[in-house]
Amino acid sequence: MKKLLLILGVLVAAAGFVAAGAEGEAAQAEDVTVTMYKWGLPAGQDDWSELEGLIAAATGVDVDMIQAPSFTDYQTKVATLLSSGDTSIDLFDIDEYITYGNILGGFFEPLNDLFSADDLAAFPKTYMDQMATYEGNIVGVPHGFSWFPMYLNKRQLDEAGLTVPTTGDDYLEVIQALTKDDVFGFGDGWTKGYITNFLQYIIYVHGGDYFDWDDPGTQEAIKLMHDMINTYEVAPRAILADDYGALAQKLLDGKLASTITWDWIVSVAVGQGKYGSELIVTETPKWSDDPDSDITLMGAWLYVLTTASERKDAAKKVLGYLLSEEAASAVAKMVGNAVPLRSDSLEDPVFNDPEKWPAVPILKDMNARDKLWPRPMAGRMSDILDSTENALYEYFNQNIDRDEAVKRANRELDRLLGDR
Amino acid sequence: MYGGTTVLERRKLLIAWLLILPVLAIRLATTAYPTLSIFWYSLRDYSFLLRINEFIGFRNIAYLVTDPKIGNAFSFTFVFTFVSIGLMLLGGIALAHLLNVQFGGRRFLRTTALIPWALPMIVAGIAARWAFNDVYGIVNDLVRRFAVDFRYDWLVSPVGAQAAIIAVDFWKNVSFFAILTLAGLQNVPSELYESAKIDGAGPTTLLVRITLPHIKRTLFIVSLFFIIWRLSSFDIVYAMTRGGPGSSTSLLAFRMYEEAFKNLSIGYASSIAVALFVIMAVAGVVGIAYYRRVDY
Repeated sequence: MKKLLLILGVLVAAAGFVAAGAEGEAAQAEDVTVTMYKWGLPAGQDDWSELEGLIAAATGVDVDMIQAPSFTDYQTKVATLLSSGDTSIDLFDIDEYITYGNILGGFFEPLNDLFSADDLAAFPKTYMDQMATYEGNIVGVPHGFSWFPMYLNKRQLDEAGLTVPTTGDDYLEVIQALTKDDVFGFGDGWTKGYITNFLQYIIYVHGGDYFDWDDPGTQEAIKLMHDMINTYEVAPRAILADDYGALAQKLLDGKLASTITWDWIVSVAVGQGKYGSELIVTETPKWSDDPDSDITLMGAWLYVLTTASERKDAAKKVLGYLLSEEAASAVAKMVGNAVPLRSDSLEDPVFNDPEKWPAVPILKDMNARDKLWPRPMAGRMSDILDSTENALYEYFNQNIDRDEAVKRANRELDRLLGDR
Repeated sequence: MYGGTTVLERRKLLIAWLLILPVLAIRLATTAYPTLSIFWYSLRDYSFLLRINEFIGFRNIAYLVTDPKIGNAFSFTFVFTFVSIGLMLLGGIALAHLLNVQFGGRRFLRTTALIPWALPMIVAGIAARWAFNDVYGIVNDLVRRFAVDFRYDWLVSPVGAQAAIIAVDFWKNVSFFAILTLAGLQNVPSELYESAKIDGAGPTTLLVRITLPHIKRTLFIVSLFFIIWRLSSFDIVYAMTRGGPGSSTSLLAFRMYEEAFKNLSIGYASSIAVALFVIMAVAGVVGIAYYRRVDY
């Protein structure tokens, strides 16, 4: 009897230990901390504790957001961490250039099960199809909306008795008419690494293909850019050295009458009290009758989950929250000068304040008509940019003709894209 | 005695080696290993982006020779280095003479002259980008004080951008060159100048016959360091032009950075590093060989 009691006692104690162990594991599972490595917007923001708190409150998962010191540093570290199979980082917040190369490497976990039909309907279809989906799988949660409106100096437009142009031809006439004295009708940031944004836009609207410079639409587009500087002289030659900082300054000072570029200058103009009286934005002009080319550029960032992550379930909870309407609005408000990517979050009254977000109605309208397209991407995008931009500068500086520029760009594209 | 060395001497030698062993180990780990790795990677097609890491022999080096971007980078690296050094020699010697003259406020001038040199190049480069802006830049503004209609987009044309980079490098570093030259000037015995003046020597004769021969060792070694620093320059281009327009202001070190950290082609970037290593090693060896032959 004593033996039996002893055995029972040992069994009870063992069961107690096992139960305690299991409880401990369960507690450990709940205590799991997911790490997110990010650069993100706006550049320089490094306190993400508010967002971490929101995620923890909504999901019960702690997130440690680690901010990279610089974008270049970030790009290199993302590539190194992913290719080494590192497990310390579960989630990355990355831009399209970084995303695309790494999508091709197969380093991101499919996230199809996180997206409901409503979620899918809320994000721009073009973006989901072309940028967030690879081989039928959604691999990222998009956020942070940027897009290309047309900026016009309203005062100069009114003084010249002109109306807002709605077609490409009208636009060229307007910028020619506004070019006088020390004002140029058009300006942009076309320095190295920037010029490709406008190039991709203008190729899109001419029905061309950024990766095929033999395409007549592509050739027409680069000729137009060349002519804006050299033939019509509506753009200053300095456009080739200006970055977006110089562009914004010149635009706000009235040295440039117009541009077609990213939307962030709107919030600067609003902040300076120049929106409406000096500067306005509107939909980009229609460059042809082809409805497929009636588009403008958009950009976003993506949250992605690595295949190497050892905390996938917890990380998916985090992503599930980040893609929600609530989180999309919260993050955009937190960042301060961005609008959410989800169409339902855009209905939040905060983003419909015409004083602060004057361009949102235009954005919503273009979004509803699927007019927003992401930039075309490839795996070795940085190399491609470098090579094609070099050919463009030579052409725009009139050192080579268009045929030679096309030949050089195609030669590099063949090398970098292989059989395309 | 054993082989001409006593046991005590051998023990001392052993202890000496033991004492420097940690330093040697650190040196091996932080210098020799990375250097050898670079040589090894230069023989590989190693790309983070393409997930490739395979041995390809000297194909990276062969591609270096035909790559037009590297051709431009080689060309501008040499132009930048030798034009800069030429300007530094002229400007540095002149400024050193000015700082060597006895006048009130000389210390203040010596200190303030070094301010540009003390600025981080990234800060100076970003400021210089605005300084050479066609509309807002101080450079065109100053020129327009004398030529009202002057318009020149410095950073648009390759020659203008190259000139701007060389000018900023000169502005930032000439004072340091001058201070080092000044140290040499102060070692020239004043009696030589006095004797020469009594013999009727003019300023040019004093400079050519006394000053330059006495400071040529200083000038030579300072120039050698400046040449090597210029060959490996990166930050000025990174901050000012990012190698543009096109690749006309791309320096070799900047090209290496672009390949390694933007294109993530570690193998190709390593081959550029090897080429740069060889160029700098040749410059160093030739420089030291000549330095030993310089009198005074």
